[in-house]
This record gives sequence, structure tokens and C-alpha cells, in this order.
Amino acid sequence: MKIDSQRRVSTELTDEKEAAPLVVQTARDQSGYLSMAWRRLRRDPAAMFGATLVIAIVLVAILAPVLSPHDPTEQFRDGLTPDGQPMPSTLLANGDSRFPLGTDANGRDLLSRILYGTRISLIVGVLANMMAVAIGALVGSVAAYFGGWVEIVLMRFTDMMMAFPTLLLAMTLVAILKPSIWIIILVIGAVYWTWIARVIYGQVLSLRERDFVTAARALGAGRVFALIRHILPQLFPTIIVWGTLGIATNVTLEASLSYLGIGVQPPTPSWGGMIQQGQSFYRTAPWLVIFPGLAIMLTVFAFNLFGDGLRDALDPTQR
Amino acid sequence: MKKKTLFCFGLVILMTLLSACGGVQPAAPSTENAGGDMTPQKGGSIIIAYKDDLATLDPAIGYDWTNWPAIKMVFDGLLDYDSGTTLMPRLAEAMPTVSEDGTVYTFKLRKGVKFTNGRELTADDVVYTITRVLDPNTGSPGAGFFVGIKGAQDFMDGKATTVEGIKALDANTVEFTLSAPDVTFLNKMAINFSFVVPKEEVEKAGENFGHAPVGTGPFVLKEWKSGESLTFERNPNYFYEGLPYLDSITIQVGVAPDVALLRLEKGEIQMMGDPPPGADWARITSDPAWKNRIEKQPQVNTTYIAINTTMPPFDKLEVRQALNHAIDKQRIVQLLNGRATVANQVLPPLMPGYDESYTGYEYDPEKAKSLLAEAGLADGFETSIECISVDPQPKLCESFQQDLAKVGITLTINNLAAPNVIDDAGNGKTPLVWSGGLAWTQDYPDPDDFYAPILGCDSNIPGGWNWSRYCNQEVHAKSIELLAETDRNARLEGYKPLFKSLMDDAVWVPVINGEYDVAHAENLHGQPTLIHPEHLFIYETMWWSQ
Repeated sequence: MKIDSQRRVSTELTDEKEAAPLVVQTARDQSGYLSMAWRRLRRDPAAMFGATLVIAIVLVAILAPVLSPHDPTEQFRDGLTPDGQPMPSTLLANGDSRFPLGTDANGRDLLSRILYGTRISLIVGVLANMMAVAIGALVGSVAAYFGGWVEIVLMRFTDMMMAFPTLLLAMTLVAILKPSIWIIILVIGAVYWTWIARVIYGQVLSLRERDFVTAARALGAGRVFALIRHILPQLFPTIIVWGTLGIATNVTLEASLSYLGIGVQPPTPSWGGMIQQGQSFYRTAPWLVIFPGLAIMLTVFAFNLFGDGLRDALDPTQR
Repeated sequence: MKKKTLFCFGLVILMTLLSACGGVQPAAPSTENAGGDMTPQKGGSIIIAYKDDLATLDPAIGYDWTNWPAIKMVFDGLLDYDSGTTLMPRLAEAMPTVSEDGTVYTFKLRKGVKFTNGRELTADDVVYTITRVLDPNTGSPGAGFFVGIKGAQDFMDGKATTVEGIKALDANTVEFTLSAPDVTFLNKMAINFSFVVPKEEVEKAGENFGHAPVGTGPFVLKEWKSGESLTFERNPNYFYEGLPYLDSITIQVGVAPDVALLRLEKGEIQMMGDPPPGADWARITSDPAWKNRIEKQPQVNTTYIAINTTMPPFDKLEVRQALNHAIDKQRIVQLLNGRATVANQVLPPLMPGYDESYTGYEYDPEKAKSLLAEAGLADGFETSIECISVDPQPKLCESFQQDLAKVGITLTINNLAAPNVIDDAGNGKTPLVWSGGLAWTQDYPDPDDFYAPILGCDSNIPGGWNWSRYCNQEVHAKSIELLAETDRNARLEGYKPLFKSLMDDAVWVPVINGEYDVAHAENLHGQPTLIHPEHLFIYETMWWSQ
């Protein structure tokens, strides 16, 4: 009890000022608040650039079958040089015009594979992140709002999970569960939620002491009702920001797992897997690692820019 | 200190190489390849790099490409091969005498041969060595080669404490009695498993003998830095005059082939133990600077997809035949940069008994589809293959995946470490297994080596190498007959129908016959070549031209 009251004082001191604009918002004001955020976002060129890129990447993923010149898994009989080397990109040397970015070590069209790889990256990135945000928000808010032993159990568990190196934990889980795209999504979601839980936990800790929560409780709202109806809407900006930034992290995590050979399995094209398969060619066919590498970079860059912009727009005090 | 001298050494080599490449040195390669006027010189030290760690130097245990030639540095067998496939005496004084009925072999030992601990070799050591390999407690993967010795099975089953058929007649004479005639027995006296070990050293070292080997061989293990390197030095008392040529050989382990190639180019190592990576193959073979630095040798090897004949739907002949028609082998050769040839039967072309007239199953996806339809699988099915996760094998398995997809079979690839694949395949846990990087390369130049250990009934046991889980009693009986056949031509002819019936049963998809390539420093030579058909490398006859 003593510790609890102390913390109450300290959070009031620090968070009251920082999160001031959020506090005046209530659930009813959300629409006005969102339009303000949208205006701020539009004025941020970096964020708009990121948003454009994100839209472009999503379009590529959706339109991959239309944009790709070939089936990404077709190993062309004439897709290799006579001595078994990948065909060079038409951009880098005088390659075959059928394969604009060249072919990979199995004679498959690299461009088609990269375009289709976008689907895998986005599906894994988005779904895994949705899962992570859902678990993280649930654990974080429940722990902070209910306190006591619930908080101790949940947050110590979170700490424990965070203490494991993320990649190592993911590798172990995938190795046990046999790799497939759904397992990868589950595993990434299962190792990544801890960061979101921490952030949400901190926010709810301060939100639950706000007057509007006290008011709601005084008017007879139950604890669960107050959490869902009054506190969760306040977390919306945080969830949106993490829901975007996290995609970038998860795209890299999926690429790492596939690079290590325990991610998405062949012949499904995945950027990380493509780099792994092409790495031994770094001297003779560098395009095999350069192009998928650029794809990963661009995607991560786009989601980071957009996510940062969103954070600034939704929560100006974080600047 | 050590590092610095190494660096200087590397520099010297580099300079020699540079001068050799830039200077006027006409037509060195032809003389080297002919093995003509280049007389081996004594002296020099080399470093060889391997990707895989070397697990053991125990001749009863080691059975992979890294330790196989290294074991021959420390140990000798009763017999050995010349630079080709002809047997000659080694620890034996002469070729053994064979009894009329072909079951009793008597070896006289060479006199005055000493183990490197100073003790003289006796017939008891030979008895101990073979008995040890047969002892189930040793866990030797080569025990199967010696089960034909009289009483071996009883000994292995624990019904006898000694092997009845192995006797030391006196200090210099050892006699083997076989339960049935076996003309390949002499070959078995030249494989690593029969290399002679001293009893007292094995007992002293116990489990550690593989790391503290003592033998009669041309080299002595000086230092073993676990997971890093092994240094061998010349055995000054070696019984063969003039051998070995090199003063010392260091084997570095854990060096990936692409890194090893870079280090060879920089002169930091003198030879790559593994073949140069496919990604660099076209580059180095088209580069004149590499002209005298790559040795290519076709291997007596067949690489295949073993089909588990006990696992549905592969218990159906039509399905196995369909698989044979579905695989595009030419594509595999291309993916290997042309460093292989298409195989159509179990035996490789270099193995005596190879059937020139047999053409096998041609690549014909349509025929495969109709065979699948005959088997009632017109809509295809799902199955999986295990491959080792070492380049280029996963790439090749992806090619199979596409081939099978075209006939309606959905193939899942399981890329695993080599020991796991061997374990799963040996215990029938996988429907298909790709033998690339694992099997099968001859132990001895006789067709029996491609039947008994990998397709015979005796090897169809848990943990055995019969990955097709196949046993045909008729073929088995025929093979026993052939082992007793002393007329070589009749024998080799006899194997042709035997292997044809295996192919008719489609127990494998034979895919390629491989070759081994070695990239080395220009001054490193073999006698006459670096690659040897049975031993892979013979380190004792490698030499360095100053």
C-alpha cells in the first residue's frame, strides 16, 4: 500500500504535464482530435512521403500477380547461364530482357520474387504486429489498471520475456513448431508484444488516476467498464503508432528468420530467404543480395517514417 | 610471434605465386598433369582448410570426407591401393595366400614396423583391431564390412568372446577364415576401418582415442586445437623410405568454402579441402591465373534420391517409377555448374560392372503423370524430402520440388544437418531422402560396395545405410553367389542383371555421378594427382615445389 501511494504521487507529477492534451480529450472528442492529427500529419512532408511509400508497397503486394512478369516459383530451364550461373540484371550488365533484375541461383525471375516477397513481408509484418499489439495492450492495461498481484504476475512475466534475446527466442520457438508462415506470425507476435505491453502499462498507470476515470467510477461504472469505455479509447494513438512502427521491426524479424533458414519455406519467395540463398554469390552475382536487401530497407524505412509522423501528429507532446 | 611468421610465410608464397604468374614460365601444366619430369621434393609445410569440424581420428569410427583421408595420415592397413584401384601390400609383407576354397586368407606382416609409441607391430594388433571394429560397444559404422568373417555374427550377438575366424598364428602371421568365399575381402583389408591400432594406447585413451591417435602412419598428430586446427608432423621412423614428402600439414576446420577460397587467393592456405563454391566456379575456371590450381576428378559416386519403399504411396511400384520419370537430372547438372554427369543406374560409370547398354528412365513428366494415374493418384499427393542444409543441396532439392510439382506431387523440403538426415533416413522416418553431400561414394572398387551396404538385406536394419528400406531375397541370394565367384568377368557380368532388377523395382532415383574439385596453390602437387579414388586425398604423397 505504501509503495502504491508513492507511485501515485510520482506519476501524477511527471505525467500530468506531458500528457496534458490527451487528458482534456474524452471519448466523445475523438473525431475532433483525429482531424487535428490529420492536419498535423499533412503538414509533415517526411510522414507524407512515408505514407506514400507505404501505400505504394501495399499496392505492390496486392497487385503482385499483375506486376510480376513471371511466376515467382518457376525455375526457367533457360534461366541460368550455360555454366549454371544466375543471369545478370539488365540494369547492371547486358542480361536477358525477360529478367529485368536477373535470375536467382535456381533460374527464377528475381523481380517477380521480390514483388511477391512483398506479400509475405506485409502479411507477416501486419498480422504479427496486430497480434503483438492485441496481447501487449491487454496485458499492459490489465496489469496497470488492476494492480496488485495481477500487476506483479503480468509485468514480471513481461520482464522475463523481455530479458530473452528476441531473435533467439523466436528461433527456438520456430525450431520447436516447424516453420510455416502462420507459425512465423504467431512466433513474432508472441515475442514482440512485450514492448507494447510496457508502453501501454505506463500509460494506463497514469490514465487510471485521471479525474474522468474517478468520475466514471463515482457515477457507478464498474472497473472493467471503466477500463474498456474510458481508458482504452485514450490508448488509441499509442496503439496506432506502435501498430505502424512495429510493422517495420517485424518485417526485419521475419527477414532474419527466413535468412536463418527457419522462416518462410521455399519455394515461397521471402526477402530474407532470398538473401540467404544468394549470399554465396556476393562476388559474382551481387544483385541476388542487393535487390532483396533494398526491398527490406525501403519497407522498413517507409513504415518508420510514417510511424514517426503518426506519433508526432497524434501526440505532439512526444516531440 | 606465431602469427607473424605465418604472415611472412604467406607473403613468401604470395610472392612466389605472383612471380610464377607474371614471369615467363612456359607450359608447366602439361608436365604436371602427365606426372612426368616433376620429381617430388621433400620438405615444406601446408595448410588445408575444411568447412566441417573433424570429429575423430579413430579409424573404427571416422566415416566422412574430412576425417577419412586424415585418418590415413596416422594409420596404415594391411593392404593399400596404388594411385588407382590396384591393391598392394602395405603393413603386410606381400599379398596374402588364399586357400583353395577362397575362405582362408593368410597375411605375413612386414617386419620392423613400429607404432609411433615405439612398440613393434604384431599379429595380435591386427586381431585386436578387427575384433574391436566388430565389437558393438565400439559403435563402428564399418562393422558390416567384416560380418563375413567366421564367428563375427556370434561375437556381435554376444554368444562368443572372440571372433573364431581371426587368429594370430605367430607374431608375424595372421589368418582370417570367412564363413563364405568373398572376393572383396582384400578390398576390405584396405579400408580405414581395418587400419591397425595398438591395444595399449586404445585402452589408455579410452573414449579419447579419436583425439589422441597412435598408429604406424606417415604422420604424427602434434597438436589439436579443438574446433580450430590439427597439426600433423612427419613420422621420422616411417617404414616407407622417403615418405612422406611434406614436413607438416595443418588442417584448419570451420572455414566456409567461400572464405577458404579468398584465403587461398591471398596465399594464407595452400589447399581447399572442400570443392570451390558453385558461385565462384565460373569465375575461377575462366581465369588464366587459376589454370594450374584446380584439379578435377570424376568420383566413383552416385548421388540419388532414396525412396522409402515401405512408406505409402511409395510402396507402389508405379509411384516410384513415376518419380524416376519426373526428375530433370540435366537441370541438376546445370545447377552444379556442369560438375557432374547424369546418372541412370545404381553403379557409377567408373565402377567395374557398370552397364553401358542400360539407359534407365528418361525424363518424361507426361509418362510420370500417367503412371501416377495408374496407381490411382491422378490428383497427386503430398510428401516430403530430407536434404542436408549445406550449399548447394537445398538448391537442388528446390529443383526436385518444381519437377514433382509439374506431375502433381507437392513436395515439402526439410533441410537438416547431416547427422539428422542420416539418422532419419537410416530409421525409415522420411519418405524421400536426397543423398547429396552424404552418399554414396565407393569404399572399394567392387560393385558389391554399391549393393550390400546400401541396398542389401543386411543393411536394411535400424540405423543402416539402406535408406530405401528395401530387401529382395532373390537379389540377396544372387549377391551371395556373386561374392564367391572368382572369375572376375563372370562376376562383373553377374552384377548387371542384379542392378537392373533393382532399377526395375525403382528403389532409387539415381540422379548424378559427381566429381571432386580441389583448388590449391600452384606449388602443391600430388603423386600423380591430389585426388585419389578411394582415399580422396593421400597426404603422404603431396609435395611442395620450392
